[in-house]
Formats: sequence, structure tokens, C-alpha cells
Amino acid sequence: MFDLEKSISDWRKQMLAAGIKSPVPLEELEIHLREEIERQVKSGLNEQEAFNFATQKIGQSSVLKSEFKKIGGTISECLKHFLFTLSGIPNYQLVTNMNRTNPNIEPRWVTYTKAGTFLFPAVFLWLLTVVFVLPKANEICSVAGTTVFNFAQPIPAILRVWAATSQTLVFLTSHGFLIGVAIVLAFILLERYFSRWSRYRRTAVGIVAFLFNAVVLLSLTLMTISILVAAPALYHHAH
Amino acid sequence: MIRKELVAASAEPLILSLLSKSESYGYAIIQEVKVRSGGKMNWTDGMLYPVLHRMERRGLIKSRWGESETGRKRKYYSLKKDGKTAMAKHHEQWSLVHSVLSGLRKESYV
Repeated sequence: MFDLEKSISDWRKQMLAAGIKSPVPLEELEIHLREEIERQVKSGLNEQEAFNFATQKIGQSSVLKSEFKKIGGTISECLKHFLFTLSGIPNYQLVTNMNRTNPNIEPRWVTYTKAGTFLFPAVFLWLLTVVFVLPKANEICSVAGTTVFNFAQPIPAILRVWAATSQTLVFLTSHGFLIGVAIVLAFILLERYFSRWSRYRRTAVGIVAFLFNAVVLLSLTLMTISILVAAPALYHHAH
Repeated sequence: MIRKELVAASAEPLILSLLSKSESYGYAIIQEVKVRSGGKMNWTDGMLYPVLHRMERRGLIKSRWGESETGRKRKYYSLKKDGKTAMAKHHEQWSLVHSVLSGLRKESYV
């Protein structure tokens, strides 16, 4: 006895096995398949004939897969994907595919939540550095008879890198609130007055988050390296 | 039966033009093309969806999930502003091809 539901679920498995994995295309294809079966049954075929006819008409899984694959294959798409991943938005295609209300545009809250989540580690590290590491570094420097924030003094070159990165962090800290408010205000204005903003939101927020992360992480890395390299120099300076 | 290269090339302008009348969903689009072409344009049904998704990604059309009268889930597609522009361009280009072709045909009869 022919079991239509089982046949459809087998067909689904076959499609999945062929690589049509994103849920929306497969769901759409299944809806289409059911519609065609229903129509054929109405026009007089039995369920099995209708099923065979409909699956044949919808196409071979391998052919469909190669067509679906073409959707995201260009170099610019890859580059976009790479940049989005770097800025903390992995699988943005998947997100757009699975978003049911409007697959083209990610909802506002998703973009901002993701940006926030992605920024959190950098903000945390930054605060940690400013609160704990910088005062400690200052202390070590003053014991050694110099200061982190003073370029004027005749200090070893490596200390200058240290000084520069520390100063970047201190600058960000002291003006951080203002910069943050300015950015938030800019986004609010864009949300309100720029009608096509929803198109650019994800990219813009992604870029801002990426730049911020880059500055903080680069400063921290440079600082750590310079502290490590400068340790012997400090030692000599003290003696 | 129309050659498959031509079917592929005409898919986008046909979809755009259909959607410019009203929003529609995959199955209905295929049926309408079939009826309008007198059954001579036969798409492999599944191929329509990659085309629709590609057009959606390019911002020509947008989609929403809805329901049929019988409660069946359906994904409806409709035209966006960029889609209208693209459609106008397609129409322009296809009429140019058509006019060149028919001009040549007339001459060959003379």
C-alpha cells in the first residue's frame, strides 16, 4: 500500500542528503510538491502516480542543489561573508534564510544584539586593562624610574610603543563615554530619518563593531608584546 | 517546446512582470507561465526557487510567509522598487531584440 506521507518524508531525506540543507528552500519545495500532488489527485491520478509525477516535475535533487549553490557563489559574496564573520556575524546568509518574516533584512534587534555580544569581550578586556593592568604597569615604571605616559623623557624605544598603546587606551577610556554616546546618537538618527537605513544597518553596525574591536584588541596585543619585550630594558633602566 | 537556454534567460523578466501585477507564490507562478505560454514553456518546477531566492538576494523582490485559503503555508513574493527598475530594463532589452529580429525577418521575405 502506498504511503504518501512516508514517500514525502523519504523524498525530503533524499533532498537533504543531496545537500539542500537550508530549511527555507526545502520547505518551499515540499509545499510545492504537496500542491502539485493535490492537483494531480484532483485531476484523477491516484496518490502514487501523483507523487511520482510531482517529484519528477520538481527535478532531480543533484540538479536542484547545484542551482541553489549558485545563489551564494561570487567572489564579492565570499568577501562579504568573510567580513561579516570577522565582525562577529557568522553565517549571515543562514540568518537571512531562516528569518521568516522578511528574509532579506535582518530584524533590528538581532543586528544590535549581535553587535553588543560581539563587543562585550573587547569592552571587558579594555576595562580590565584600564582598571588593573595600566596602574600596575605605571607602578612598575615608576619603580624603574620612568613613566608610561611620558614621551619626553629619554626612554628606550620599546617603551614608546608601550606608551603609545597605553595612551590610546587611556584616550578611549576618558573619551569613551562621549564616543559611545555619539555613535549611539548617530544610529538613533539614522534609524529615524534614513528610510533605507534597514538595508545598510547590518553592514554599518558590523563595520563599527569591527573597527572598535580592531582598535582595542590591537592596542592590547601591542601593549602586551611591548611590556614583555620592555621588561629587560626596564630592568637596565632601573639599574 | 521552447529551448531551455531561452527559458532560463526569460525566467527573470517573466517573474518580475508576473509579480508586478500582484504578489504570488512559486506554484502559482509556474502555473501562470504554463497557461500563458499555452504549455510551451515548461520549467523544471524546482528550478524556480533558486531563481526566486537569487532575485530576493539581489533586492529585486521580497517575500513573506502566508497561508492559503485551505490553511496551507505559502511563501509569497512581491516586487520591490529595484525590481521595477530591473523589469523596465528587461522589457526594453527584449523589445530591442524582438524588433531587430522581426526587422530582419521582414527583410528576408522581401
